[in-house]
Amino acid sequence: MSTPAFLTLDQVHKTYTLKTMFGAAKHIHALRDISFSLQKGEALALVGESGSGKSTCGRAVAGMFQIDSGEIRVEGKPIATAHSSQEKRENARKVQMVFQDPFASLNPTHTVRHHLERPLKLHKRVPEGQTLEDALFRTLADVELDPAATLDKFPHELSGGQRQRINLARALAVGAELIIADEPTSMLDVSIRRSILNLMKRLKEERGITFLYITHDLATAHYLTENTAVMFGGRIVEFGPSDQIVRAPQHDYSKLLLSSVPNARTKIDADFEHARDFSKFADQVRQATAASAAPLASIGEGRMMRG
Amino acid sequence: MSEDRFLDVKGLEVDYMTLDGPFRAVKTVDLHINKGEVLGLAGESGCGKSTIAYALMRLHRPPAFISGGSITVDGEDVLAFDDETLNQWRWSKVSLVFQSAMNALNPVLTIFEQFRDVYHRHTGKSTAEARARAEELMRLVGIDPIRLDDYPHQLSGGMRQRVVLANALILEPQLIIMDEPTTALDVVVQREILQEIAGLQQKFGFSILFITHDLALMAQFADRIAIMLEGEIVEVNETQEIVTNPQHDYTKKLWDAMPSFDDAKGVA
Ligand SMILES: Nc1ncnc2c1ncn2[C@@H]1O[C@H](COP(=O)(O)OP(=O)(O)OP(=O)(O)O)[C@@H](O)[C@H]1O
Ligand SMILES: Nc1ncnc2c1ncn2[C@@H]1O[C@H](COP(=O)(O)OP(=O)(O)OP(=O)(O)O)[C@@H](O)[C@H]1O
Ligand SMILES: [Mg+2]
Ligand SMILES: [Mg+2]
Repeated sequence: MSTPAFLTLDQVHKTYTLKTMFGAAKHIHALRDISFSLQKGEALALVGESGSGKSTCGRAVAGMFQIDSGEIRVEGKPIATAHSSQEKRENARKVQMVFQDPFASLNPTHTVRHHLERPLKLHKRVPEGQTLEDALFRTLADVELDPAATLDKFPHELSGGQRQRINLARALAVGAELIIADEPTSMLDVSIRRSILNLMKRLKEERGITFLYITHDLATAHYLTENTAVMFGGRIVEFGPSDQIVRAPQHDYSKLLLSSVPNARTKIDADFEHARDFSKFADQVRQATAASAAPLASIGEGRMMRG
Repeated sequence: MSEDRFLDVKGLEVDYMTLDGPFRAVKTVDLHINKGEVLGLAGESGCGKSTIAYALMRLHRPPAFISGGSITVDGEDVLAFDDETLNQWRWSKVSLVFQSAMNALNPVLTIFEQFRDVYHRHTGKSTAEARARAEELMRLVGIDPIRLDDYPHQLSGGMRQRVVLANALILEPQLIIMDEPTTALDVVVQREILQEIAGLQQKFGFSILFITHDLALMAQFADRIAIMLEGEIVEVNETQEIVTNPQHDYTKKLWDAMPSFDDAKGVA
């Protein structure tokens, strides 16, 4: 390929070591042999077990900690070897994170204006011939907020959906090219969720923003992304086009995951025996998945799975 | 049929004192939950669901004030309790799984230490007994008990959420208020936990107030559903009716806004 992918992960590993009160230290393989690449303007969903390493993967890409081995490249350049502060600043600008709790990531004592002004000035994001005020208005308009009504509000004066728009606006103000969205809508109600998803989709299609979308909601993953990676125990167990993953999952864990998506028309089964049976079955699938060290292998056009 | 109403709320009003004067977040709300019943509460972000949850346990703090109405739990007038009664009552009779529970744990205590504190305060039982109960509950929510000695930041978001759920079950309360209890979990674990809670609920007969944005999940779990909009309950009915025959425009809108596997407009 002539142009490198926007984001490439090459055999990335990260292990945490926990000291326990009794006995030996415990190792947690948060990321094991993670490889994928993502073209500019594409979106990839990371779905899977809770605790499977999705957020760790996102934070690794954002350069928030050192990985143990492997390489992460942004536009072909390894982020770990960015030595000059100039390069580091460039990486920090290009890659932004948006988190689940829209409140936690905003400073309650500062207005929206303050949250956006700083990055615009710091990263020199005010185009020539424009005033700072113009840039502020444009940034808010980009996330479909009324600039005049919003600029001087404090975070607590905004709804959850509005706060999440501010977080996206802040990423844009910095000049983000890749947004890592870690469950950005899971604390929002469905009607707002839909509008935030639509906004991300527009940013992707009209602005060429690349998204790493971390979620438990497979329907929204399907809605926003081209490809989906299903994670389990620090590994990617299945990778492929999102619609194929939701319609015809191949890996046993992916099948279990898809079959557990709630359906309004079936009542939850309150029978203890059945609950135990389901848990036993889920455990079998999880244990078998955990035990397998088989490599990711192609199972057809654009699809991969661990045997 | 008011005799089997475990929770009975009448005309509840909750205000937030703001610089512009009082803001009424909960407007004359009536709701009840029968013994052993699951009531779902759904509605737009900011409509007042969490405010109700806090008020029911009298965990609301200034600038929030209960300015009207009554809350009766198991025949007792909750608004009349003194502090001591309240402290004994809370968590043992009624417990709450907080929204963003993931962040509700104390960062400087291990999971077991927080667990032991509550257990000890209410039961006076020994650390060994607390340990046994903690391990039992950790298994119940599907976490290896070895992780009891971890600090909250060492657990994933979903694990922390399950820990908080386990904490709410410690003292076997008769009403559990769950504010978005499974939002951070993968759907497999979500299903396991809900089946487990449903099973426990059938066995012990406790009541549940279940707050979530996920209408599909709510429909699977609740016996009745109340839909809330801007501080008011606009529709309450049997789950079946809310699913197949929603009356209020807002309820219909909520159903329409859910992305499903069938709509993938735009992504090639
Ligand atoms: N700082 C840390 N110290 C120790 N262990 C950690 C740390 N951060 C993450 N872990 C562990 O790494 C594993 C992966 O965690 P991560 O937060 O990436 O999971 P996740 O897939 O995002 O889960 P969730 O869906 O529940 O948010 C978990 O077992 C977690 O406990
Ligand atoms: N401390 C506060 N001061 C002023 N207003 C507040 C305060 N806390 C909450 N409110 C307001 O009260 C209303 C109800 O908030 P509440 O948190 O109960 O909503 P919710 O239905 O739980 O929303 P979500 O689905 O986002 O959790 C909102 O309009 C909110 O802005
Ligand atoms: Mg996570
Ligand atoms: Mg709430």
